[in-house]
Amino acid sequence: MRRRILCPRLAVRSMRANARFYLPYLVACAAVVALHYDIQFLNMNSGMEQLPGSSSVSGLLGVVVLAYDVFSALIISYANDFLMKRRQRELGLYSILGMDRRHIRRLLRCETVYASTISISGGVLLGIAQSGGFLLLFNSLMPSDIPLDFEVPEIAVVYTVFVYVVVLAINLLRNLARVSLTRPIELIRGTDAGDREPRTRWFTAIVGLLALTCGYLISFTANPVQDIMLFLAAALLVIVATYCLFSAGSVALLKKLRSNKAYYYQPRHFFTVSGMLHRMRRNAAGLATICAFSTMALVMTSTTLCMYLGAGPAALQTGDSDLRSVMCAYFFAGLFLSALFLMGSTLVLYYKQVSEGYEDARGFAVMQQVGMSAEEVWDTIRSQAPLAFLPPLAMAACHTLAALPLTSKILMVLGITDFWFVLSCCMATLLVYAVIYFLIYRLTSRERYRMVLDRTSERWVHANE
Amino acid sequence: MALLEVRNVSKVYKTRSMGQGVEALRNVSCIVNQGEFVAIMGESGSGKTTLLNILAALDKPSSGQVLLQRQDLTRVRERHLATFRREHIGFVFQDFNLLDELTVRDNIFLPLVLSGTPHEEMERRMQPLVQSLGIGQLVDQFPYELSGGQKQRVAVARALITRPAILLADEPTGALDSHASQSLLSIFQNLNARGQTILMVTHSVQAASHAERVLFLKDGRFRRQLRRGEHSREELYRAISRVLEKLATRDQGDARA
Repeated sequence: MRRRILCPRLAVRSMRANARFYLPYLVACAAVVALHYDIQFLNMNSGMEQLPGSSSVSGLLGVVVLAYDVFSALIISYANDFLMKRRQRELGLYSILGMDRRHIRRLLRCETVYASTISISGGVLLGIAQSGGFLLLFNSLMPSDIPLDFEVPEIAVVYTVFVYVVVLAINLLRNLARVSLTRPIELIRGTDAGDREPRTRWFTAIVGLLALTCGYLISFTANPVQDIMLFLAAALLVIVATYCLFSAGSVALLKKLRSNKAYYYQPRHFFTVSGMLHRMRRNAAGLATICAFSTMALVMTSTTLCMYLGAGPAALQTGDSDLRSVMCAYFFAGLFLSALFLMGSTLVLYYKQVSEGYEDARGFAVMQQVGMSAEEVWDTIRSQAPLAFLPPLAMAACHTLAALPLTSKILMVLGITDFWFVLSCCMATLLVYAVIYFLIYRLTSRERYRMVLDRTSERWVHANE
Repeated sequence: MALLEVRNVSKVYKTRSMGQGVEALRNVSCIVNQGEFVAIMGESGSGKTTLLNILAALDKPSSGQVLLQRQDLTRVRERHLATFRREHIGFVFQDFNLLDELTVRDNIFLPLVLSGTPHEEMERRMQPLVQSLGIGQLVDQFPYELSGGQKQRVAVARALITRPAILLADEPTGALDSHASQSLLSIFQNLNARGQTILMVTHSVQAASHAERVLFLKDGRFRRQLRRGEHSREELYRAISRVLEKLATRDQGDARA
């Protein structure tokens, strides 16, 4: 009887203890769920059938929902894996203290039940609240005499809840499998295992460069209207190139910097270059993911913005309400997916910052003992952080500009022929995105510094015992 | 000549729950002369780590003074402390505290990088140091590729490359096997023979028997002092054991009384 009570209590306590990692996870899940509901709300709205061109609109939204499901599942899994990696030590400790695997599995089950109840119900409520706003926007843009009404379509709620219960259940199964497969001592060591210095992988770097060249070449030469597969091929090549270049290119560049002794052996450069090099293997995937998400958000937003601003008035003049409906649907599709990718990159950025702060702490405790003042330590962190987070944005901007020829050809079919107009839409999107990215970066940095500070002082307490 | 002078140092740790706090050091005084090799012995809780942290200017005493080369450590301004530590004090820790992401060379260079020393000067200083410590072949490797004994010698090289006035060692053999401990202690003796002042805190009789002078710290006070003088290391070893035994049995007597 007591055991039955213990487990849920432990689950709550451990979620609270890990709030720094758990809270963003819950918030991210809830936000993803809310947006999912909102797409479904529009798609399943009873007034939808009355709209001109309703079949093509709901067809498009159907595709968007599918893409949304896949990407949001990936994002949630990423967050889940991050959370589990951070908690390995705690779980290992439980099992050494005599909790057997059955109990740990039960603890994880309890946590998942709590987490999914909170995030899914919270998400649906948030989604319902947001849907009012989307409704206003939709009605103001749609050329319809009969505006959509506010309602809560049951099917939308059921579908949304179903999708995310499945996603969270799959993650739970993966976590349970991981606990069963790992020995407690490995769980305890977990995150402490130091990474070896990454080798310079010239082959990967060259593959990356080749893939990037091919992807860009397709964009500049091919006609995507004849063959939509080309667009996908270009996107795929660029994503591959991004991952290769971030993982191999960065190491090659940093090693080059390190071999320049006069540059390397200056206090600022020394810690930056060596620290980045050490963590690049793990960082690379995260940074490349931020870059890929950002690129998708940018291309999508700038294209739909352009489409809406450019084709909307044209359709209005010709009175073609079918075309206008489709434009509007595209606009919403772009809006939803961009928002998802923005959330994705925010989450990756946040976790990246927190985990780096965690790892920095040990190094900085040593540096203070060797003779670095606290001010110098902060200086070093502040100069290090932007170096890691500027490249994804810069590369995403580069990709977006390179995709312009491709997207402008698609837009041309819709009657938007003014390249300067397309370019200025793109630049405006870039600018807004850069501002948002910077703000997110600043916010997450604060969390990172706090992390370093906590961990460093913790070490000092230990040292003084 | 007195290099380091500890004058009536006390340290009280305030606890949140109780009013009076815990007295870790009670009116401690001692002198370390230029070129000496001194060991401070004490069990855990005797106050030796507190004392070492105060000597290293990592912590401030509640009262009293610490003079290193006639400069009062307790009066060095907070923002000059890091530089002061870097330039005057070399540190060796029980668990090495090397940075895994740096090569051995870069670990040794660390304090010089912080001081902004030119790269050529760093190389010039490092070469003879790593040769004498027997780690000349290892400079391009990473700490995780080394054994404990090798790591500790790298830490010694890092501590000495700034040519500090005093080398402070906190349980330097604590994480080493007996063979590696032995070789580290002979390194200390060689360094001392060439004029390096060393202050080592330890609870290993074996380690302390390599020093010229042993101070016994207990419950925050110095209780006894032994000098090697003309005696051999083995004799000093036995003398230390006897003192420890006496201190321990007197304690039991106190408890009974």
